[in-house]
Amino acid sequence: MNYGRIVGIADVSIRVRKGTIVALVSANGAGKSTFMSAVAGLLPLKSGTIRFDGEDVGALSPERRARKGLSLVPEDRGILTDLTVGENLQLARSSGRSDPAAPFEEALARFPILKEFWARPAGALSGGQQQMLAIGRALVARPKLLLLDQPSLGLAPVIVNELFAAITDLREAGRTIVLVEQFACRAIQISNYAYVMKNHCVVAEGPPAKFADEQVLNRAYLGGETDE
Amino acid sequence: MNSLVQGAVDALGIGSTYAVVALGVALIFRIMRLVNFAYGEYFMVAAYAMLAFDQVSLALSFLFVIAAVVGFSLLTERIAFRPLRNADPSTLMIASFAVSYLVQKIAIVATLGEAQTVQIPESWLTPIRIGTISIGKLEIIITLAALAMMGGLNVVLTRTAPGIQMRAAAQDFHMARLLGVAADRVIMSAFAIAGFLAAIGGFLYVAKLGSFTPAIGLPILLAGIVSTVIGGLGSLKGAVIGGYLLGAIQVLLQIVLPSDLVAFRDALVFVLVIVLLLFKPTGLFGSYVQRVQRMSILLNLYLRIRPAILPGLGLALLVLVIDIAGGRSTDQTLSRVLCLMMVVIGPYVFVGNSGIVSFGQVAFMAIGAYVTAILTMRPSVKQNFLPDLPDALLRIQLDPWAATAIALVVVAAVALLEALPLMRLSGLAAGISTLALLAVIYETISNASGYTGGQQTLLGVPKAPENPVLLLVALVALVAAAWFQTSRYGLMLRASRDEPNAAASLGVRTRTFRIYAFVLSAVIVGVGGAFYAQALRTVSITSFYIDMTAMTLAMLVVGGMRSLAGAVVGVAVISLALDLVRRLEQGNLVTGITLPAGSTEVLVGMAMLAMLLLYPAGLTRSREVLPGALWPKGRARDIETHGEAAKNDAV
Repeated sequence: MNYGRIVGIADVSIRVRKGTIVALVSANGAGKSTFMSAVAGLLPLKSGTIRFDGEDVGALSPERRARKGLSLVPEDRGILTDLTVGENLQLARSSGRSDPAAPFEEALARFPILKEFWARPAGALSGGQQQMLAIGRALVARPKLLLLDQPSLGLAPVIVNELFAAITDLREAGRTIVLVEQFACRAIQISNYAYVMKNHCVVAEGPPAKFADEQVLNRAYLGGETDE
Repeated sequence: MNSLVQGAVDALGIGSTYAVVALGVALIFRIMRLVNFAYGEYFMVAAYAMLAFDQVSLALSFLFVIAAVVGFSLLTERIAFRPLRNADPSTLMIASFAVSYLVQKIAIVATLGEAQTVQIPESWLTPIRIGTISIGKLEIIITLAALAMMGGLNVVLTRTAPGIQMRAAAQDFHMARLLGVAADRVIMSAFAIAGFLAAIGGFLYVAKLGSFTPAIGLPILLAGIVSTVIGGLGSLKGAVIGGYLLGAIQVLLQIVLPSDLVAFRDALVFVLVIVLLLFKPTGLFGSYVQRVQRMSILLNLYLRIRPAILPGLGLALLVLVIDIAGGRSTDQTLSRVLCLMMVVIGPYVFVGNSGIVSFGQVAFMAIGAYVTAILTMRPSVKQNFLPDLPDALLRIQLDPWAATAIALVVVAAVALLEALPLMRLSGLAAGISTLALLAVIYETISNASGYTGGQQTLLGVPKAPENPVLLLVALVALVAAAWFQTSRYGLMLRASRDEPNAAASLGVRTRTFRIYAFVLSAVIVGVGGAFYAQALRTVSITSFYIDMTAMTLAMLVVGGMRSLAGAVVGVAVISLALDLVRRLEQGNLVTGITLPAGSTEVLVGMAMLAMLLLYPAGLTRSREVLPGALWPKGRARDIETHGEAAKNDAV
């Protein structure tokens, strides 16, 4: 099923199929986070369209998009540090998409630490735990499309390993994910399809196998000719 | 003892009202960074709504008030604040001020501003007496209502989904929306709750007053804002505590103040608030970072002028003491010192920020003085002294203030012309060339006798403004210097002073910023010179040369070259010392000691040398004296440190 066609920044056109991970990689400053913010509705669209589930959502407010099943985990994780862990999770029920019977089941099963720290202020969590809370919180809304903006940022290598494993697990459970990453190779490895951005444009795309040869990725990064 | 208990009871009653108001103000501020000046008008609406049914039924009246105020609150949100939701806090604040003003004026037009009376059952107003203590029933009700509302609000905010959404939106509006929180709804709930608080608070407040005018909102708004400021804007807990604290302070002052001063009670309260803001700009409660963010406007203003606050207060105090102690005999000395203050603050702006020593700033003092003299002297006198002046200048005689303003412009122009080539230089070369320029201007003025009177002393400059006015001008110079040094330009310039290469690599255009500093410096010195001429009522080129340069440099060195406080301390210390020496030179009858003439200059030189050798960073160690630094925890230093570079300050 075709999930959407999105035209962003200068020339970015991305399609995401249901049940897949799409990786979006680039060097810093290429416009990945801007792109993600625009998709989630925090930035207005100047031109282009965002089609989601067969519907044009480009003009909707962020909260309306959240209600339709778009969940962004932003680069800074967006943890509400004044609230407790439990309140952070409850907040995601505002989307009206959570399972009324057991809203937190999936999040708590996937990240048991959140249950343990339920009543603690979210600001007291470590970086890795905050990232778990951010993703767990997004899962409460049972998103149709999960947008992960640089989830590995600032985390210790061992935590990053767990994180990538968790993201792969999410796909196995049927989630659809757009993963923006600086760890380009690893993100591409776990993806079904990858886009490489440079200067606000997509300069290369293809299945992971295409980037298995490091040359291809390097050229895309460094601005050489690609075979596109 | 009884009066203490009575006072406590009264404080609780007043404090409860304030706490409710403060809670409403803080709630709206938290959710959308709006300091809602219209909140007082919510109380006014409550008052008028009471009129509708007060004769019919109190219960009906009460319900109607709630409906009216909540409706009005939502209306202000929808009409005035929603369109401005993404505007900056100061725009929002101005909008709320406009709403407040407009609604109040409408009420005045509609009611001709007349006082209205509310019918309240007599039994409500008779106080309960326990011994000699009397407790108003309304006070009991408002206290209980306040406690109930606080408890209720707490439950709503921590236990209900809308409450959690509100707290989330208060911290990070974007993230809350990303999680599906509807922005409009959450803000409307905040306004509804604030309106509800105002309705109940207003109902009880008006019931207690018995009558009101359209201006009823202002005192209550001020109390609300003061309470939230005391508590730390946006902190709900702080707002409540602030409300009770304010009530307690008012009652305390009422008891303590002598009867003829009670009228000044509220003025005193505001002075206390200002003092509190000076020391704890973010209020008493809440975490530091949060409070910094919430108070960003006031705080930014405060941080910008902070280096000037304590030196300015010190200067004002010193002037006041000398003025009172010395009477007329010290008048002229004081005027001179205040002018010198500007003449030293000026070089500080350049030297302190750029790290380049300038020997030439006194030249701008000369220009300022001469321009003022030429423009203000009587035409007949000018004919004698300055025969070569063009006709227009000969005939003109301006008001001293106008002349000072023109002097300022001339000085700025000359300084800019000097700075353009000079500021390419660094270090010693720059210092020497400023000295050369001082000589150029000195020689020019002293030899262009047809235009300037040459070496003669010009007489007949009109008298300077009174010392309080001069003090004000000096304080303006002080604030300008602080403003510059905390500005982007000032910070970048000081970065280039301490780490030239690092600064350059970050794109600091050292030369440009040096030019800004140099021109500002010259302007301050020039204004100082203009007033100096008026203070002495004479102008002589000899007083604007090496001696004056040495004295101003000595003042800077003694105080500390790299802090504004240093400039002020330097002027004060050297001036006091010199005054003492002058008195000794003239022979002092009390001590019998007489110093030889010329001791002053010797002292200046010795002071400068001794300081450079022993305390190269000056009496202040080239640190600013900041209000926060006097506070036990000294948090001020976290934000701004510029003491470290002072160690290698020897010039």
